[in-house]
Amino acid sequence: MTNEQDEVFVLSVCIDFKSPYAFVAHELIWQLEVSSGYTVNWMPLTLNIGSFLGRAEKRNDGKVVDSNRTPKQWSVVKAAYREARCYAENQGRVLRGPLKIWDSSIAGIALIWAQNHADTRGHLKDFMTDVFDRFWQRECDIEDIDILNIALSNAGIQSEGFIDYAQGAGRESHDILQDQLLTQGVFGVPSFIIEDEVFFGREHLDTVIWRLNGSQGPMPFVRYPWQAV
Amino acid sequence: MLDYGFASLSVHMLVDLNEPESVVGIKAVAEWARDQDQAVRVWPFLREPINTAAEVPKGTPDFEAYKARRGLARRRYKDQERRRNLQRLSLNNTWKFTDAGATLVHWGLVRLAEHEMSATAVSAFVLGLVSSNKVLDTGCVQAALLEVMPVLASEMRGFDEAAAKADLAERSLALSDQGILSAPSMMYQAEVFSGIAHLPRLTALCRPQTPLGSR
Repeated sequence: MTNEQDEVFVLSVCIDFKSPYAFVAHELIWQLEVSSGYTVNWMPLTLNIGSFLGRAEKRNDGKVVDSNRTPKQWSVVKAAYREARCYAENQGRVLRGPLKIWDSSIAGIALIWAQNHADTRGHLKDFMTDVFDRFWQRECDIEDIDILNIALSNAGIQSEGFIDYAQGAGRESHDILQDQLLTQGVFGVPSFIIEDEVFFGREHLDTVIWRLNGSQGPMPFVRYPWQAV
Repeated sequence: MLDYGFASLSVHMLVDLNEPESVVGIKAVAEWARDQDQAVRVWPFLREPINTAAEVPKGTPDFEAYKARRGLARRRYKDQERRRNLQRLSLNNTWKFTDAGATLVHWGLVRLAEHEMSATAVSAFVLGLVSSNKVLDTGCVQAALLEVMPVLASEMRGFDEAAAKADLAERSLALSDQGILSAPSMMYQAEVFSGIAHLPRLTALCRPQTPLGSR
């Protein structure tokens, strides 16, 4: 897998800023990058949540104002948020459920831009952490191109040219990438790609490391890392 | 509500032995139970996998095309994960229960749990069965059950497949009402944990609390 600068990456990771699973995984993936020494190629997979969980919109007080979700879909969504909130709190993060299904494609384009323009991995991490944390505190409008432009700048990443990119070549790259990822079998986030193999979910982190290190010994079981408190 | 005999201080695991993920889960949980000195009971949960996408109303042709492509990607991924789970079990091929064999083995799981058989013993029983390279019919399952718990011989003489199937369906429905969505899942103190990846969190939850006076 390569990025726009044709760097070759061993490990690619797909995320979507509006996914609670990606939110609770991103710090762990940064830790993996540091501990394993493998540079992660971050890629946006912009989920169409309405296509597999139905759509819903709430008011600020939490009352549902528009939804086509079935009781089963609601039970799956509620269980996912309950679980993600628990793990977010364990990491000291705030996770407030979004009031609507966001179009996160511009944030995804900003991720591509950030990866290609960040001078250091630290700047890229700062950008991602800032957008993730503020979005899940309901303090970042990820559909607003100007807000993402400022977020890039605040993280120390060149933002000049981003708006044009997001409305032109960046949008095109993003859309082509969505098609490629679906073809490759990536359907959710976070997903890890090593050559042609896909691992969906942060519970596979141990297996991903095991695979990167040559698949020596028995394949690990899946597990969600839990910090002792 | 159906009384499953769930002791609140034990961890309860819900499995479908037709699925490699559940069998890997039993293996992982058995190791965890031994390391943590924790009681775990293994029960059957037999429900069709939830497919939330199937319940989404039809949309535009583009929307439907996306749903179809995502569905295909998901199925391809499930195949990859199934192969990885077989590798975790050191197996090359998946096993196959006959309908009657599947009913009997899940009926047997209920009996083993009611007899408070440890997860370690259940794991040995299940792994022996699925790695036997046989078609897992009632004869095969019966022999394995009797080997692990001879006292079941008298209960098994009166085994009624239709009644057992109905009982398993009723138990699974009751578990669904308690929030179990899929197998494998775990329950501890009425909280549901989907999948087996929550074991590190369960370790923290099950750890004996420090008495207030000693802090």
